[in-house]
Amino acid sequence: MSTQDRSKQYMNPYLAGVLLGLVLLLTFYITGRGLGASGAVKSSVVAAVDAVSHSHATGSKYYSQFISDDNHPLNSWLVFEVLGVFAGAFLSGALAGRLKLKVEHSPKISSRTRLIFAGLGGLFFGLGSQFARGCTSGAALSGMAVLSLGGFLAMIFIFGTGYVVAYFFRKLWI
Amino acid sequence: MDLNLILNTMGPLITNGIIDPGWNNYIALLLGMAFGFVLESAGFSSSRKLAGVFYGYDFVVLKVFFTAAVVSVIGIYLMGHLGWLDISKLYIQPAYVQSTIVGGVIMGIGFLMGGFCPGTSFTGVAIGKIDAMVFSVGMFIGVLIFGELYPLFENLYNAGNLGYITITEYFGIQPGIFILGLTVVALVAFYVTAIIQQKVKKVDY
Amino acid sequence: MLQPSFNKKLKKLIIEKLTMENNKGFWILAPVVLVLAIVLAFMGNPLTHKDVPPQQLLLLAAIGSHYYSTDQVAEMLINHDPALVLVDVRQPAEYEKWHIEEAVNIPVDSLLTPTWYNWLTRPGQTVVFCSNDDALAQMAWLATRRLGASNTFVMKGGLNEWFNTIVNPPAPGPMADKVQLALYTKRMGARQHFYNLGMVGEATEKPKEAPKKVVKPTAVQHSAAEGGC
Repeated sequence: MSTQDRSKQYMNPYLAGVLLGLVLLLTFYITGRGLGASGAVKSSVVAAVDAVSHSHATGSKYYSQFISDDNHPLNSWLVFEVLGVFAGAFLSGALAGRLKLKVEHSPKISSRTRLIFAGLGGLFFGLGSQFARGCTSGAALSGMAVLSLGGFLAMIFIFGTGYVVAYFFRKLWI
Repeated sequence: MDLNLILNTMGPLITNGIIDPGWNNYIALLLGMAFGFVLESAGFSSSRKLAGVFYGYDFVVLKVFFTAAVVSVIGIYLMGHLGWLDISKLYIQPAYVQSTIVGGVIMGIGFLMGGFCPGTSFTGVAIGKIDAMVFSVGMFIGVLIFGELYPLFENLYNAGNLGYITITEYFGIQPGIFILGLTVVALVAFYVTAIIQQKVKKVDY
Repeated sequence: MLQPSFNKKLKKLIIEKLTMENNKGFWILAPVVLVLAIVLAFMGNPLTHKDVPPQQLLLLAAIGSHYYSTDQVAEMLINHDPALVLVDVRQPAEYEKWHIEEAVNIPVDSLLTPTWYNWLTRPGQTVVFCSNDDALAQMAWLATRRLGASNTFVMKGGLNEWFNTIVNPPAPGPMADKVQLALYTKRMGARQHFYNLGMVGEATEKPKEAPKKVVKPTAVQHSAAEGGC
C-alpha cells in the first residue's frame, strides 16, 4: 500500500466552501463589505506610479481617482486583507508540507512555456479586473453573496469565456 | 424623539459603530488570513487543480466557489431576517454592464492562460509557486497598462452604469426565491459534475 | 435467472451514486443547505432594522411631537434654515396652482421610490410634509416613519392652516395679551416676507405664485459601507 503524498491532501471542497462562506459572511457582518484581491494590485500600482512620478500619477485620469492627500494608497482595507491572505496561505501550506519553490506545469509543456503563459494570464487578469472593477473574489464571489447584478455578470462572463476558450489552451493543461 | 431603541447590536458592526472603525484594517488582516488559509487548504494554490474545472478533471473551483456563495448569501439573508444584519448597509458594487462584460471576457482568457486568478495567485506565491509569482507580476503590468492607456478605455469603463443594484431589484424576483433557485442549481451542478469527473480521463498533478 | 443479478446491479448502482469517490460530503451538505434555503424562501422580504412597530408610531402621533406649526415652518423658511426640507405631497396639478415658496413637490405616490426616499432620509435634514389639510401629510409621515426614517414631520393644519395664520393672520381682538400680539406681529412680518402683502387688509386673492422648486435627487447612495476590489 502506497502512502499518499501528504502534500497532495487537500481539504474536502464542500467543507472548504462552507468555511469560505462563513468567512465571507463574517466579513460582511463585521465590515459591511466583501473580500477581494485585484484591488490590492491596483493599490500597489497606484502607489508605485505615485512614488516614481507624483505628477504623472495625479495627472492621470485613472490613478488620480485613487490618490488622496491624507491617505497613502497602500493604506487600504484590501491591501491589509491581501497581506493576510499571504500569511494564511503560507500557514496552510506549511502545515500541509506544500512549501516548495517550483514551477507547476503539465508534463506536456516546458517550464518556460508555463511561465510565459502565467505572465500573459496575469496581464490579462490585471487588465480585465480593472474593466470589471473586480475579480473572481471581489466582484464575483462577494458580489454573489449580496446578490449584486454586477457580481453575477462578472461571474458569468469570466467562467463562460473560460469554457469557450478552454479548448484553445488545452495543451497547457491536459 | 428618536425611535431607534431596538437592535443596537445590528451588523455591519463597523458601519454601525459597534466596533471602532480604527480596527478595520486589522480585522481585514485577520479575515484575509482565514481566506488565504481556506483557499490554500482546498488546493487553490495549484494552477493545474484550478484549471481542472474547465476540463472536467477537477471541479474543486465549482464546489468551493458555489458552496461559499450559497452559504454566505443564505447566511446574510437569514441574518437580515433575524434583525442581526442590516442588509441595506452592505456594499453592493455598481453594475457597469459593458465594462464588466469586457472585463469578464478578458479575465476568462487570462484564467485559462495563467491558471490563476488574483486571490489564488497570492496563495500560490505564499507557498513558493514561481508560476504564481510570474502571474502576479503580470497582473501588476496589466493594471499598469490599463492605467496608462485609460483615455482609450475611459468611455467603455464608465458606460452603462445601472447603479448599486441587486439581481432581485433588476429582475423583480424575490430574494428568497432566487436564493432557493441558486441553491438548487448549485446542488444539481455538484452532482452532475461529479459524474462528469468520474468519466473524464484522470490527470495526475 | 436474470432477476437476482438485476437487483444486485441496481443496489450497486445506487450505492455507487450515493458514495461517489470524488463527491464526499455532498449528501451532508445538500440537505442542510436546501432546508435552509427553503426556510429562507418562506421568510419573505428581509426587514431592515428600521421597520418600526406601529404602536410606537401611534404613541408619537398621540403626543403630537411630530408636528411643526405653520409659525415654526415660516420662521425656518425666513431664516433660511439649511436643514429644512418642506415637502408638498399633493399631486403636481395642485402644486402648480399654488404652493409655499421653497416647498418641493413629491406626490405621495412617488415618495417611497428608492430615489426619493433615500434623498429624503439623508442625514441632517428635517423633512416637513404639507398638504391641503394635514391628512395626506400625516400618511406620508406614517409611511416614512414605518420604514425607519427618523427625520420626517408634519406641518400641522397643512396649507389651509398656512393660509389662516401666515397669509391671513387673524387680527387679535381688544382683549389680546402680549403673547397674542407678538404672534400676530410675527405673522404679519412673515406675510410681508413671503407675499409682499401690506400690513392692512385681508388677502382676498391668492398670493403670487412661487417659482416651482426643482430638486434633483443625486444618484442613490445605496450603501453605507465602502467596498470594491
